[in-house]
Amino acid sequence: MLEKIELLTVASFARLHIDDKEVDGYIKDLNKILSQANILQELSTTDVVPTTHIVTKTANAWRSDISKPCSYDVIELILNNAPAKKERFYKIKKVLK
Amino acid sequence: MFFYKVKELSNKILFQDISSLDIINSCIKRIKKIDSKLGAFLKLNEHKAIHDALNSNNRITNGKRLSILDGLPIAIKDNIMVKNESMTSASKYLKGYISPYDATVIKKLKKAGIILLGRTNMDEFAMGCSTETSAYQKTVNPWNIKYIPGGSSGGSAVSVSAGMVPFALGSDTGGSIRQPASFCGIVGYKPTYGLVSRYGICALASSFDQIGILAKTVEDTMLLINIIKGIDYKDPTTCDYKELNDNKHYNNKNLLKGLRIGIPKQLINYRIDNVILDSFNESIKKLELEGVKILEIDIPEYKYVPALYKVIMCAEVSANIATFDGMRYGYRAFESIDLNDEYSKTRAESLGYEVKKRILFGTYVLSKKHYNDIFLHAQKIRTLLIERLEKIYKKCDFIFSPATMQMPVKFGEHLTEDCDVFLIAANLAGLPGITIPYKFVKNLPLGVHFMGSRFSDKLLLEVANNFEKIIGFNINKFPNCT
Repeated sequence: MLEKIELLTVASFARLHIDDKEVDGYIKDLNKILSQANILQELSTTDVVPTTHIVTKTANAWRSDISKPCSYDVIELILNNAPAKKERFYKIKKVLK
Repeated sequence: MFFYKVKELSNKILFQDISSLDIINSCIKRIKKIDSKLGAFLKLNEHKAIHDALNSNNRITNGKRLSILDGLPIAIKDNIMVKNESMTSASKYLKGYISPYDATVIKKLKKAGIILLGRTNMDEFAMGCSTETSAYQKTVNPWNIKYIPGGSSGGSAVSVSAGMVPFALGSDTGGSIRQPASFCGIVGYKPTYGLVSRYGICALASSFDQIGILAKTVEDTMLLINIIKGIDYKDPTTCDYKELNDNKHYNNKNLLKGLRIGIPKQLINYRIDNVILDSFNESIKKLELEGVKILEIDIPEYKYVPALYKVIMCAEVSANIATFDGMRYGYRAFESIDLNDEYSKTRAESLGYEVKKRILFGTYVLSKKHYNDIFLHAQKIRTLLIERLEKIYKKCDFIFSPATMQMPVKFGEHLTEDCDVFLIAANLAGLPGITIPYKFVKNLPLGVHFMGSRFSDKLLLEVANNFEKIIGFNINKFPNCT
């Protein structure tokens, strides 16, 4: 059973602000999913290997460690999507204080 | 124009009975006439499409056709990147975002001369099963506008069903192509995981996501999959399909005779609409008449499918959506104290409730306290399901089921948790699945679902094509959109 304190901890892990008025709704909905997920406890999975990927024939996609030039147009397209920029850099809040 | 199958349109273009421009103009006219009521399109590329159609006309006239589908229009779900075009994933977070590159499937469509006519509505970041979580608009079922179209590829399904385009691309994470296709009376196909590159799709749950096709007929679907499939070094989960069993030749005429089709014993455990069950039993009889061997199969793990899906999908959602931090693109909440506050408010202000709920649940099951008991345990049960299905496919060629447990519901009503169980199983195991419209009940469509083993796509499509012919579903029946 998930309670308010755990919900707020999870929200802080997810970097997701929750308003006080939303708390009850999330607790109700998440507990509903949790109770549905409880059915999984019926099965014993001792010695079962967890699925990590469902593709059996994969190979690493190696690339040469060489930088490739990027056209100015593409750089512009990418930078134009930034909520804030300065010259050719993203503008964000200070990371280090 | 919208009564023609893709192959017929293609032939008409080839023999210059009609031009690509005629088709594009006809589609634009129909979209302008009916889409204000249906809400399938988020964006229409009218001028670019006309420009591309003129280029296609020139190619055809000069005998330089790029592919059998050159000059035909397609609708694209709004979570697939098209260079220089907006892509919102129906979220406020991505409002105004312009894609800096083409998804691999888009590159392939362009290379084949297929014309991208517009972007279709969807559930926000494909999280939903009714297209109601879109931050932008409501999409309705063209057969009865009081009913949901299904989701998350609801806009793509409606665009094809209502004859606004001959086919569309969607994405399928837990039935998101096949369920709306079934609710809208068209064909919905999710290829084997790895058959079609996911490069350039806005990820929901990466181990489930697969780009697929919504079309009027199985034959139309077959034409398009041949264009978009294939290995892509930008998506290492793609495989070289030709190396597997693409070269097998099937005897089309007697394809169904002797085919072994499994019916899950677990069907009786679900609350299924009576009309769906009756129609399904009727369809089994039709298959038997064609010489198909029907086998009862036992997949006890089906009971756990909805729970498995929720746990693993939400975990992957929480990881994928973590990239939406408002730094390099998307929405940013500027009124904040520090960086962490900015991340938190950015997500709180720009994401819808359904998305936030999934992020929270995913973060919960991935947290140290619950990781082993919930997330890892679910991944182990997923292994059991995959192993069970591998054994089943040694006994039978395909698994056959109703597409959904329920008919489309009215807006405001809810689908049951088990509604899409048979569709979701295909995503959990990376298998191919196709829904085919079977009949109409009270002017609403219902469908059936074939699910094959990994990379059995070619045979799956041919079986579905044969099935479609024996049921004689009338593809020229169009909704009057009221």
